[in-house]
Amino acid sequence: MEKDQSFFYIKDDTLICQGEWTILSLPPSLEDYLSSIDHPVKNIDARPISRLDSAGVEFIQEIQKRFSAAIQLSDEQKRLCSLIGSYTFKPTPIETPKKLSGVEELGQSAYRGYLELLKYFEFIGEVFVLMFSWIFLPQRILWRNIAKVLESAGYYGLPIIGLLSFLIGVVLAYQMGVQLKNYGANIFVVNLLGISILREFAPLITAIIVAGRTGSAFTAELGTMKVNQELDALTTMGVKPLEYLVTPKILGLIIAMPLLSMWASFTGIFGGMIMSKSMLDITFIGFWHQFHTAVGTKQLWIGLMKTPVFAFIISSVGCFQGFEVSGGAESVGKQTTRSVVQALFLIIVADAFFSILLSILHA
Amino acid sequence: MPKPIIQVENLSTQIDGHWIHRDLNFTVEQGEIVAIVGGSGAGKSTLLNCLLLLLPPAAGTIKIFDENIETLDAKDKEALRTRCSIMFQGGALFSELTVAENVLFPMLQHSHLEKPLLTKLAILKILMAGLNEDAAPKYPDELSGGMIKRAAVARALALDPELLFLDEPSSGLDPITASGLDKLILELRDSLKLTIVIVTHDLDTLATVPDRIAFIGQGKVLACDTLANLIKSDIPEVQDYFNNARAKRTFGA
Repeated sequence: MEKDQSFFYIKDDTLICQGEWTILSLPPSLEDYLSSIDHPVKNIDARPISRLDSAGVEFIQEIQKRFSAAIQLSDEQKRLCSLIGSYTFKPTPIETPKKLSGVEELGQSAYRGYLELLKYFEFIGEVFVLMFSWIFLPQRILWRNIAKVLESAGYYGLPIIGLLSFLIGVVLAYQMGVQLKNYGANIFVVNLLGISILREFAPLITAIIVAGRTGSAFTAELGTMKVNQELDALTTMGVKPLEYLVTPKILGLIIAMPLLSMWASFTGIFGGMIMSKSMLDITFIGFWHQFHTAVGTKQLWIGLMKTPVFAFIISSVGCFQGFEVSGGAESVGKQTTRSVVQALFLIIVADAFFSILLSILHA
Repeated sequence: MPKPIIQVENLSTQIDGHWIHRDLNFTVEQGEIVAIVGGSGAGKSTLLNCLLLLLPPAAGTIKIFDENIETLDAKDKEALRTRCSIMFQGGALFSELTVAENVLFPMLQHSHLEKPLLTKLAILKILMAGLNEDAAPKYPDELSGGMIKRAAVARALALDPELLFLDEPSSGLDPITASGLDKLILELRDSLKLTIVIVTHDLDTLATVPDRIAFIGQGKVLACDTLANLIKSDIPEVQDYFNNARAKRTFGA
């Protein structure tokens, strides 16, 4: 491109164009070049141009208008000019969308949120009706699809959930141990660990990881299927996407989550046990004995009771947001983000709700 | 003497252990329109991917604009890519951009010109592809199948490429639009000195547009000749392709 720096030169009263006049090689404007011309130009000779494209034609016509000069073109160039000249159009129909004021935007987003909530309720209503119908038609249950969810969300989630929960146990034991040591109340770390992990940490950690791993996957999968018209294809075959794709996911996750939470409780306590031994000199036997007497199975049941609710939140929000995808790739990404954020939000809200409920029940 | 734009010599390609091409030879000269035909799965799209530098060949050489693509460094490859463009079969329009923005996108990436002029050129390309101005501010998911094809053609023309690849340009289009597109292809070649490679199954397009037709089968170019000569060919695969009832109706043979 550099070798064709000069685009024209002037000989007598003729402007002779040369080099490549293409969209890639032309400078932003020829103004600077043209303003240096001080005597009138009567002719423009475009024939020496080695390559002319539509951008070049625009430039030449601009120059021609400016000097109102005659123009000489080769046959090929004439064809190109007449091809371009045959299209007439208004200059710039590209509009930028109107900016909304702050209040309008707030109102609109609130209204959109309200509509989305209504749609979500409608969605889970339909899911409940379908699942209820399975009670009477158990042969319709898609065990295969449920098993797939158990494998991908449950089995393949074991390592990461186990590891993170183990580390949480270590961290908790350390933080509590530092305080308890001051009072010589080392052994009570077992009570604290047992209750906090079984009741709160195991279900929450599990829910957070599952929302990130599985909820997002549900949204992306369904969203991409929607973009590819695969959902429409299912509907036309007389298969309800809701029944074939959504209910197995919800049911599968409701089965998988308590198991995962149980596993998280186990590894979390194990992590606490190891930290207690190395920092607080509590032997495994001592730990186990104290655990047995101080932490009842009630704590485990309270923790496990929450998990089906979390599972339902994650899977229903994930699938709902998948169905909300419209358009293309960008929408899939946007809805996946929404799915994870909303699921996490609702999980924390549900957990707080459980705490309030249990405090009323003095449990 | 026209110079060759694409020279493919003894190309072999392999995908997941399957040989797609074996010693394929293929040449396209400047200003020529060459159609690539062949049965489904014959390796038409794979050949296109090789020519677009998307798929490295397992063996053989590909020269585009007389440059061996294997020896090019990244910068030269970029330069080469601005001289070629493709219309993908499914359009491959960016879903989060409007039609006008889709056409503008390659222009803004590579050109020094000011945006108002580029916008004007983008609209010109949209009109050239046979779309209405009203389509410019629309998003791809608001367009019909035929409009997506034309928007994709408009985007392929954005940089006024020297070499244009069209993957099934007229499939799924109504006959009026399809023949309009055929006319456009010929017009572009004549006025912009474009070299065009078309992958197509459209017999009407084959009858009117290409100068030569390359028939791919058994991983090779079995024949590359004018339509009239291919119809007379005695290679069995080519015979089957051009001498069935449908083809006879179109070609009037």
